[in-house]
Amino acid sequence: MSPAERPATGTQTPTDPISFMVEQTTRSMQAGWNLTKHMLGVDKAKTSQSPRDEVYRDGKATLWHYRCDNVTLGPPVLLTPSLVSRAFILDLQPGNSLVEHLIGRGFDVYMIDWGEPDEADAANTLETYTHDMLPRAVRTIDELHNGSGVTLFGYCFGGILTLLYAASHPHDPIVNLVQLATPVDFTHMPSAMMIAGSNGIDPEHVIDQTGNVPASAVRGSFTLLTPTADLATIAGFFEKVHDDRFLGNYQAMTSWTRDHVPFPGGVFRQTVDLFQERNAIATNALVLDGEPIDLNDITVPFLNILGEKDHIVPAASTEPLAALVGSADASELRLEAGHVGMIIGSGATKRHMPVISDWIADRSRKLA
Amino acid sequence: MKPLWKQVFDRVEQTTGPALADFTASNHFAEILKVGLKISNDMTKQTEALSRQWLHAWNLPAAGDVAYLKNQIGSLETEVRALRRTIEQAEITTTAPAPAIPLRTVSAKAKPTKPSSRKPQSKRTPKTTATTAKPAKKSTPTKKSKPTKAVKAS
Repeated sequence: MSPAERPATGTQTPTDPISFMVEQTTRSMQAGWNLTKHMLGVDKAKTSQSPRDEVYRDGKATLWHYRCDNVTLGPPVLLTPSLVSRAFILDLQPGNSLVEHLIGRGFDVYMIDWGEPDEADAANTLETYTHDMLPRAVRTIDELHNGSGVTLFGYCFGGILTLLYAASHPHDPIVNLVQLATPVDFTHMPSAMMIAGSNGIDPEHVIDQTGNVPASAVRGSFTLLTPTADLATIAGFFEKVHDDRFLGNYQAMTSWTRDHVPFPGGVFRQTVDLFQERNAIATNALVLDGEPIDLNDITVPFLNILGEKDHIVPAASTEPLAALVGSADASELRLEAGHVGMIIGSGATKRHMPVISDWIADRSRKLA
Repeated sequence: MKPLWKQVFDRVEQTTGPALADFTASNHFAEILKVGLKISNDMTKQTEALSRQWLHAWNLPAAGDVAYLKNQIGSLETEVRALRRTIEQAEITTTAPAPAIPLRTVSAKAKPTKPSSRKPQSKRTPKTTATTAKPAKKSTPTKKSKPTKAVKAS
């Protein structure tokens, strides 16, 4: 057999028995070495690597500013992650980070990290975030940038917060609003995520002695959606553990998926009552702090991003959003991706992020 | 090519995965979970009550005491935030310039114009836009039928 006729190396099995044995032995040794490193926690993939500075702390929340030497576009972007997971998903790893992409595109990037709630945050309500913490962050950034305004970017439950904040504070300096995987129509949410409520489990039974929904329960609710997902992840790990790059990605990703944070009890009660029971956002019947919230009050340029393969926040639950807001410039971006795949992975880096940052750039101004 | 064990695993997972997901989404499972959580909560409460009694007998604080104190701190933080908001609102009211008086010649006997009192606004207004009037709301409720631009990922 001529070299040209030989099958390519890599995933295909070499026909030469000696080459095959050598390859298998090398692979097994590499797998053993990687497995040992993984078990001992040596050379673990580091997350949240973009250099940043703390602007201020407010309770458990921290406003971070990412360093950028070449800011060419304004206004700055404020990223708002979910309340139930760690914020570093938006800055997972170098080469796999929304923060890094936005900085590379020329934006000044801020992120509000909600931190890990404890007993002191048990009484936090939606208003704590939408009427106090987010307004403070937006106004601080606006003042730091001489009244340039802010592009607000909300992800998952963070999207609910940015949405309700923008609707309840129409005069705040929000220039653009980007919503990623934001549920609004809770009738389309998976039943495993809606297990608490009048027809199911008493919400008080989910809240522990700290007054919050424990992180284990938050993780459990995601596990119920795809009960075999954890096993499949472990099987995939053993299949590809010999690959250094895979190991790095696996460690970074699992450090996020297995590390949820407690959900403040006050917000959880409101979520069950207002969103699950009354579907108040979709029906425009939401009242916060005694005032009705009308999404039609959002008039800034608006982008709703949804994942067609999202099993946590199905596309149907977020689809109505662009039509509910009052923006004349309301767009919808449908991605062939799941909840996390929209912002993490090679597909996100190559295809999704450029479209998102282009949309923001088109509605930003070039800085001198 | 995937190793044999992974092929077998995938086949089993593809068969059992959806069935398990259907089960966890069912009312039957919710009922089981409901009972399980109730029992778990009752047991936790009883255990905590016992350990609290024991710790208090030794004059030691129990986890519940610490949780109570932290809840109190949380309530205080909430009050501080509410106060901060009140102060911010008060600052807006006091720092906002008086409404512009049309330039006109006034006689010495004319009474000075009183600045009109500001009505509280229904939507929250930041410092920077304190004097900006709220834009008029859209009169026609066309939000349901409003066409939205579709952005396509390349």
